[in-house]
Amino acid sequence: MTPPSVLLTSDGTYPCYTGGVSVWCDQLIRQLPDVQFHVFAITYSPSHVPLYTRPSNVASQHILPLWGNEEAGPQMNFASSLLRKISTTPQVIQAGFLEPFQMCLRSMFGNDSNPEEMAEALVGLHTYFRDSDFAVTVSSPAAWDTFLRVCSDAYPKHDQPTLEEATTCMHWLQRYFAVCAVRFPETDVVHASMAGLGGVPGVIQKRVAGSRFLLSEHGIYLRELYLSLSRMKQGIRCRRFLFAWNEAIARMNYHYADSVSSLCEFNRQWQLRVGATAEKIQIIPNGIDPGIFSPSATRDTDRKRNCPPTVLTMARIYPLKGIDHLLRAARLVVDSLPAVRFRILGEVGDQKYYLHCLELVDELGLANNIEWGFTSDAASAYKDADVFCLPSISEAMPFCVLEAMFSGCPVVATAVGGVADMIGSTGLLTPPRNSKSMAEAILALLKGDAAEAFRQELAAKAMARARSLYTIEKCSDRFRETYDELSRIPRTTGHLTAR
Amino acid sequence: MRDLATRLETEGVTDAVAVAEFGFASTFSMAEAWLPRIQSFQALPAAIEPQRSWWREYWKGISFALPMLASILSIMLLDFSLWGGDLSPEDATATGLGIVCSFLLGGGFVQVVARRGLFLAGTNQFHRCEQSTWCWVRRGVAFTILASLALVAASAYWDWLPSRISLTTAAFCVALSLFWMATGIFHVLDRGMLVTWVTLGGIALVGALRFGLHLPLVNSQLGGILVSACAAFLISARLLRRRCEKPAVAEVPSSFLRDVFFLWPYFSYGILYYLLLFADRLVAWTAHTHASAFAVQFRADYETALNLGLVSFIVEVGWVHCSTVSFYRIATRAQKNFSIGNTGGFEREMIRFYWNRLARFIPVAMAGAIAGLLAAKAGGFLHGSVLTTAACSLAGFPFLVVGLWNVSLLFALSIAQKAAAATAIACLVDLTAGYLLTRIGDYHYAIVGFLLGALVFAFLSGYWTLRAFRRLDYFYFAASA
Repeated sequence: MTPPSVLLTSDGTYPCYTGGVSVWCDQLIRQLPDVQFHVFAITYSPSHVPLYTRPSNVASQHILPLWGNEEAGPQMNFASSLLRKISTTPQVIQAGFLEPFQMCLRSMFGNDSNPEEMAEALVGLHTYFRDSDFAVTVSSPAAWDTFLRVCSDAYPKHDQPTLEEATTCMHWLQRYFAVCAVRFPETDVVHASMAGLGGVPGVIQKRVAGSRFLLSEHGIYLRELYLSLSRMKQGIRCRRFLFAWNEAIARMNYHYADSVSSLCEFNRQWQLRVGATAEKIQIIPNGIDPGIFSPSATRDTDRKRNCPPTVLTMARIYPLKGIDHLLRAARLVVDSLPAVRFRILGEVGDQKYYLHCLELVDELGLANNIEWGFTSDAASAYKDADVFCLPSISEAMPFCVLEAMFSGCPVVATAVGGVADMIGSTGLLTPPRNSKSMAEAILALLKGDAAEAFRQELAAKAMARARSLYTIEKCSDRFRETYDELSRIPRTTGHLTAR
Repeated sequence: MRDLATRLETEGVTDAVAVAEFGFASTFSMAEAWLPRIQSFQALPAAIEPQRSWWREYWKGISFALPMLASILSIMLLDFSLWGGDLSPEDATATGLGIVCSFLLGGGFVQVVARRGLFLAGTNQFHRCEQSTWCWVRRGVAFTILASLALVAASAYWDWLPSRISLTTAAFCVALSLFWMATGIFHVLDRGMLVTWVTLGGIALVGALRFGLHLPLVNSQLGGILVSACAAFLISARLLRRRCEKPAVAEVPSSFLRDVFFLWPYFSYGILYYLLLFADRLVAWTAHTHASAFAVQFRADYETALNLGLVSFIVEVGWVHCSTVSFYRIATRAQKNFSIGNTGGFEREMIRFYWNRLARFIPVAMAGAIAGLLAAKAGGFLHGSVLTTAACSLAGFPFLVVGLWNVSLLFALSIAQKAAAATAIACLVDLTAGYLLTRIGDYHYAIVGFLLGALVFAFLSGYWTLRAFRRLDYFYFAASA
């Protein structure tokens, strides 16, 4: 059988950002060398460059910056681009754009958005943007007036959005529609790594080219959106708008996905609640390469040399990772074990939050105990640590916990997402945002005569569990099987013929 | 309800906790039960953003003109500045022409560097801001050098000016273009006061070269301008670099044609604005009199009269910045107050704001005129044709300032092509009227061209601004996209 071709789509992850989903994408591509991949990545700014070297089986890589001042649409020379702009007249906009645009808005504002109507609208926009200029269209007076009119109809008279809110929301839509202006390569399977905008190519290609659509979720898109929206500075109507848009998109993705993969039972339950059907969902946990992450032969020798005990945290620095709770726990640990060292390794994802954490370190008097940094050699970091601690307030199936398990580093983690399923009884779980119980768990592994034996016992159990359930081969084999199954299904002609 | 369940989960209320501690079947059923209670809470009122006082904004507005003020004061007190001063008629012609050429040749590039840079810096794309800035500075420097050499060659071929004068003109043109571009970057970085400091440093260097090393004033000035321009480039390069994002970022290939397509209104406005400022001078300098030895002759008395208008301009121009800041503040507030069903109300409020600000300009314009007249009285210029020129100049500059405000509003609404069009028509009126009047009468009549040009500039740009205000909801949205 000919190996399938796959369009792998990502949103704010691979190949321009670090993090679990990026690692997973990179592993997946490298583990399946006979599969020809095309990558479509949504980034937040044009400044982001690929951080991963492009494997030889990636035939093409399209990066779409959602924000910034790049014009969406196909790359073309100046003369063609100018002609396109000139030919996108108000009449063309009226004839080709306004109808799918209105349909999209109405579908989104409806109480229970109709996924097929939303898909029809997005395919309509995709078709329109093949020949017409994106920037001219979405910034046209007709687009703005239509947006105001539909919003005016959708909201009750006493609760109409203000002009400021309408401007903000229309700007968001302008950016999101950029995905519809991309010309995607025709592949057997479209594999989206998130249920948000990254899934739109899957729906469009299924409708237009008859491709099969596989949706893999690491975190639950909508769940993470709820968390991030609660921190937004925009008003309630803007947040409601984003809810409506993202729920409509996620609902459409679940509806059109031929198969949905989930990392753990916790995520599966969420996917069922937000619109996926049980028969489509299969659980495929993440995997780790045991050749890279293995236990240190010298960890215990080092400990005997009176090295300070080290607690390692590998996480991007942003609020969902709960670093501030870790710092408060660190204060309690240091009160009992003054020499303990906390290493927090990871890129800064939220500068404001990072500065808040730095202030907290000063406030808590932890300057001598906390080390911030970033490492490209994660395996060594686990080998040098005595305890691994993940203080997240939301997770799915974090790679760092698996890496710690494979490295023989006992784990203390918050009981969020699929963490409890992963660790089982091989690590210590604490409630999220509870610094006291986190400190107690860390101290149980570091303080007292029995601590060393306890660490060794947990590490051995964790390693055995990880090697039996979470190897990279197991994970990639499951996806390869899924690709084969999906590409065996004969392609149906979509509602539109691909050009 | 799902978002409440998510928040509960992140607070540690897992299914097990919901059952054991709260008596619910799951986190979701707990969220469902609690939702009505949560919804009954009132949202906290939004925090009110502090406003900067009007005099701070006014000071920021006139800070753009402070280097000009420093130069005028330096000439009055020391007989020299970074450019201009107590020069022979030939040197005055060379430096005067050099200054005008530097604005006309480099003005477009300075405008593009500033507008593009401000946009990119304003959207936190500092790396691209740095890329774009240096790209356009390189283009500007290359263009200015080539165009200056072409002017020297043309002057030699058609015998406009003696070669020493044309070479001095070219040297001033290139050196000052570098200075404008370098100091333009300070405005991108919101460090306008550095322009004044660099200018003062340059003036000090000119003094040191002239009195310490006994160099001729023109050579000292060229040295002073070049050293200050280099210093400004070094400082701005350092400041730009410091603001760049820490991690590696993509090199964005720039397409010249694409840039030209998007930036031509700003580029042409940059040239046309300076043409409007200097067109009357060019007309006056090229008007034939028996005293003229060359095709171009610097007119010291005309310049003195214009400087009075310039003093009023410095007083008045602060209003432009204040009013533009007010526009953003009032428009943002009005956008929050008017619903999508009442766009007409929004537009009416903003048109009222426009007329209100214009009415407030009258006392500012009068203060500017009084300042100019006081300066004239102190200098003893209130006689003959100098007085007529000064009066026309004092009458013209307020219209120029109003036009500048309209242009800043048109730029704010991304209708830069209308700003360029208004300036182009004003230049045409200025040049035509000034040329005809000076060829029929005296060279002082060039100022009438300036007055008419400024009037046309103010009225046309105002007309287009008010037209945009009638669809302000759309333009405000389109400009911020």
